[in-house]
Amino acid sequence: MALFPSEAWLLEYVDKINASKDYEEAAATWEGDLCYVFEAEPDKGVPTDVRAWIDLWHGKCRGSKYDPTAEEGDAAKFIIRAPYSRWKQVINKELDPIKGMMQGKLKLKGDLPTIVRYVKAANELVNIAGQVPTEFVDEQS
Amino acid sequence: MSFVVTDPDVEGLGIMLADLVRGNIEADPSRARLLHGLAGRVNVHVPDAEVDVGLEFRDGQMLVHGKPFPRADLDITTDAETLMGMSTVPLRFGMPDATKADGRAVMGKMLRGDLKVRGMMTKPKLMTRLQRLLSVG
Repeated sequence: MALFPSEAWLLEYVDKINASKDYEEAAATWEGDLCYVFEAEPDKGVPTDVRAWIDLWHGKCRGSKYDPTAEEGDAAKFIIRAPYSRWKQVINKELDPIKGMMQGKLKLKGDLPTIVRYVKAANELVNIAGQVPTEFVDEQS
Repeated sequence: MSFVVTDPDVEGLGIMLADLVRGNIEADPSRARLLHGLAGRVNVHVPDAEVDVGLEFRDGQMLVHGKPFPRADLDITTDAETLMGMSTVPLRFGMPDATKADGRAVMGKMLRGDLKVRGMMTKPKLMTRLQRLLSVG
């Protein structure tokens, strides 16, 4: 069980991305890095913004970095940001990321036509996040 | 001149539609011509995401409003997944291409009422140009 957010969780997520045939197929021509920003919620155990950067290339994740600086993370081709508790809903599949974006609960920075073109791959990334055995930092025993 | 202008209160869906059209025009500047001479109001309703937006076409621009219009020339109602799918569907003469499986799927949704477009018959130019502006194909 990996704590979210943490480097252990990110590494497990990356392993699952690289093991996913569905993602590999949906993102076969995808080129570009992505940075998730888990925005601070101090009352839930996330005192500062946390970033998770993944380098996605042709259906595989060829690199990752947990908690890069804001400058490094914000240089990614795509950035998706939301408060920690929204990400928790996404991972628990209580919030569909596309609906979340339409509702303004998740904010995307980057070329939207590209994301729309690869919406199946984006959905697969979310499905994979839900497959990581996760303990949330605000539910830690 | 900006081709796409958003009201300050616009978020979520309105930002997405604005970014989509902006991105498409940046990638292919000739698409800006689709805005020339286009006039009309479009409401987009996505009940499963509980969001609505109003799009206004005039003076070569698309204006994005945070609220739908009381009366619009085109009224589109569908779920979030179908709306995103409409951007990737192959087009033929600005409408979903019935010779392709994805195009037939969108038309099937229209027939089943999962995608409702009021005003499509009276404002075909507005409908086809909107489709082409939003298409990432």
